[in-house]
Amino acid sequence: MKLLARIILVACLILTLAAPALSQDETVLRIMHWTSSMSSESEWWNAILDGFLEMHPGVTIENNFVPFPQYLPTLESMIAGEELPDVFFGHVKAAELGRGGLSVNYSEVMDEEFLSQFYEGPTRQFTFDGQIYAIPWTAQMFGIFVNPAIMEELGLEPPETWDDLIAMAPTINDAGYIPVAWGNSAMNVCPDFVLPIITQFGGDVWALDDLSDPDVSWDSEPVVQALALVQDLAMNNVFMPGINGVSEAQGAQIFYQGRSAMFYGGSWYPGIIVNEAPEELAANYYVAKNPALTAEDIHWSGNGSGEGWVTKANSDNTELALELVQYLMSPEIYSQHITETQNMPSMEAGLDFVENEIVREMTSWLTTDGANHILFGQGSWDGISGVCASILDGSITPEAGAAEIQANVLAARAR
Amino acid sequence: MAVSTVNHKSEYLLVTQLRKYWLPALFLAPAAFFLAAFIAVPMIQAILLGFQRWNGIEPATWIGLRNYENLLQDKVFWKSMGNVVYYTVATTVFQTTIPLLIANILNSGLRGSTAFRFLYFLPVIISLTITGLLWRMIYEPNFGVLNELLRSLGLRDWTQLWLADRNLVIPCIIAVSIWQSLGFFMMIFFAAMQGIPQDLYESASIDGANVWHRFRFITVPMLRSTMTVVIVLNTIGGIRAFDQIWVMTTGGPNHASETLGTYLYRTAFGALGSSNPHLGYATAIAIVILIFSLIFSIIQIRVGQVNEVEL
Repeated sequence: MKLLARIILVACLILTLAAPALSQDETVLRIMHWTSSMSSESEWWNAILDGFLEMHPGVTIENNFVPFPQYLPTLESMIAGEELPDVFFGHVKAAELGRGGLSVNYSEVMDEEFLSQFYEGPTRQFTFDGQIYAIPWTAQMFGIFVNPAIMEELGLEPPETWDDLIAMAPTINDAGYIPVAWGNSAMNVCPDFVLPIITQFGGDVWALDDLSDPDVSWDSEPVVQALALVQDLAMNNVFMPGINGVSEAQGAQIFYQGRSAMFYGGSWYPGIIVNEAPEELAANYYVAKNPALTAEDIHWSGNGSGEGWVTKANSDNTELALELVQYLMSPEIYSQHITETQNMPSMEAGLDFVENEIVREMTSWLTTDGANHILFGQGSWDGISGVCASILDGSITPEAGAAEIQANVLAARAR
Repeated sequence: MAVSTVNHKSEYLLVTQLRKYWLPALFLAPAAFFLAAFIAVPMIQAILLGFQRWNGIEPATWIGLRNYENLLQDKVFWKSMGNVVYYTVATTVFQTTIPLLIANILNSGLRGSTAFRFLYFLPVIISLTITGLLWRMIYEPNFGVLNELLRSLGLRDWTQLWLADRNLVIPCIIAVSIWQSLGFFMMIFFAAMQGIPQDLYESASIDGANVWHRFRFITVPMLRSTMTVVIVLNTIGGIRAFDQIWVMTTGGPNHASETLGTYLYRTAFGALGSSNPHLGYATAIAIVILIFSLIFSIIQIRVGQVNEVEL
């Protein structure tokens, strides 16, 4: 009996010690993203990943979906803990990771044919010092979603210019509607709104974010003018009262419920509207370009890409991870992704698979009206998001606000 | 014979020593190991990180007291500090006095006191995040329940922007905190009141003491140690306030409701669209929170001990 017990004990010990060695035979590729339709329950996404695994026996993929609100803290923690996944959405860390040598520089490892297939705006989003540090999985574009029933009832057309919008606001307000709904309680939408307007006034948001050119600063004229225009819009009741106390989701709900004539949002909303808005609105709403300064001006609006695949550099899995990225961007696989999600494609080849007319239309603006609205520089986003909230509630002047952004960004960079 | 006695003695001493020192040490070792690994070592590392610049990517660099010097010049830090003082004082006062009064009422033999205790306690079991989301909807300025209620009561002039109003945002959050914690602190006081001997009240009544006198001169002094606990819990809770505020306002508008907790999080991990963490700077904020919590807790515990009433 004792002998049997000893044999079992020794066998257990051997198995315990051998387990790590046995598991090392299998390569695990870790991917991380915030797209809920690509969670482990997603059939189409699993089918895509299975396709890659069939080509690579002995490899398994660990698919990690992290909801967007938790994504950045999760990524920050993984960076600090030196536990980066193999392929992941770089969020606003793409530049830092690339410059720090922690992620692959795609300009060095991908050929020109591969890199040139993407729209310029989304690729530009991830290009720093001439190097590309992320591959755009989708693109994005902001616009004004319009409730046709309200506009028809009031005899209005979508505004061509900001002056048009200010002029029609009293008519919409008097009828009991909000002209343009959106929410800024998380202070993340106001920068999306104001940054393209800086471009409309001739400012260079890329240069502002970088802030290395001594002739460019956040307290410059285009920034002051853009802040002044946003304040004008707020003071003329173009937005709902207390917009800083309204969340982005609440702003969308106000639009869905037919309480606002228009809604300011990104190109991911058509996919949400189909599921969340009443059928009548979902079937009839349309989208208009961001208003411009004059009818002849370009309707600059936020574009780029949020979802960009970054590959961890210098790991045992780097080569395999790069193969995965190339596989995901191959025409056959990318078309499946766009067909299933109806997201805005980051490359022209994907457009053929977009059935949603609103997304198709917004995609066509990428090459004509796209302006930067995502900041990567130290302190830039915090600087503008805080001041933007004060601009909306009128507690700061545009001049003082612009000066405060500049001071805050410089202070953040001096730390 | 003598040698044998000596051997026995030394063996006995050895066993005694073992029992006295080594066995307790052996039993304490696992807990001590986990405390050291998960509390002491990270705390020491955090203290050291407060003297470094680190963005999580490049190696950390030693910068001495620079983080703390920068904190002194950081307007948002001072705004956060002011908000923390405001929030902590208000929540400590209201979350001590209101539960105490309600517990006293419920303890007076009020009919249906069990039902009231249950109702008051209900919000305690809801998570702070859910509470925050719920109240964010209630406070929504355009179509939120609170303003709709005021409008339906004909009180349109009383409607406010609530969380969007930089003067009202902190009082709004304080109100939610009181609502959420009322049941918890009330139960603590209620339980403590059960331990006060009834003879004291009966004697006082015979001596002509009215309800207020009995509360003022018997209940309150007898609950002093409980009050100290409640005050300490409220103070620490106030200094490290984070979750409800983050969910409701993310510290906005423009830092109007920023606290040390939200500023620490924003600095360490970034907000929704922010990047470039200052982990050393954030740790310096965390150390400030730790020091404040420690100082206030020690003061309050000492004050509580001095005023302790013994039977």
